[in-house]
Amino acid sequence: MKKKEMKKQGGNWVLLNKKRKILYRSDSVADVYRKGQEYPEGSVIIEQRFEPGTCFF
Amino acid sequence: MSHSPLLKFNFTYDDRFGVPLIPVTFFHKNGTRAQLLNNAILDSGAYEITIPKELADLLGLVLRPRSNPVHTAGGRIEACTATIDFVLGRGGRFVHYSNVDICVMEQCPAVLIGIRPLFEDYNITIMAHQHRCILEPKE
Repeated sequence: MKKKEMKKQGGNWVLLNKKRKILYRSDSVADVYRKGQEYPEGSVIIEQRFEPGTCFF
Repeated sequence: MSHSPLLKFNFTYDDRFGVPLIPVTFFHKNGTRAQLLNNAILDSGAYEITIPKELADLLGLVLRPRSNPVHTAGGRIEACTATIDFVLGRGGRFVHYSNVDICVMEQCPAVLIGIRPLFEDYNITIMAHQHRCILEPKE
């Protein structure tokens, strides 16, 4: 996915390759997990990007 | 619930987010492994592992009604229980947990790793100033 498209797409859940390049991002955790299924097991990583200062209670 | 032999872990996490984060990998109901989630929140304020409902649905988990209500900082909310397998760790060092009861919530902002089972199985030290958490198996 092109950077421009990703920026437009937004989202705080991301799919990364081993070099930590963002392959996909979405606000939906399920979408990111679903996209992750398209890659061989262990070849990608899922992360959530929190806004700095986000509080979880 | 059962688990493989416990290992000691020393996780560092990104200081941008200000909360302790650990790597976990969930399994689908059919036994296949999902991709690694690199930053689940280690949360001593949560009773159990809590995940968003949309993730539970994707994993194919069977949701059961809860016998007790769920209270959050935002008030009482609807939630379900499910049973899941997961592994703690990354890079070839794993502890495999099976048949763990977890909480599933519609409005869940993150994956929370609560008291049951990790804080029951491990002495956990969060060194916030070093952005590090150490999980030491209880004897």
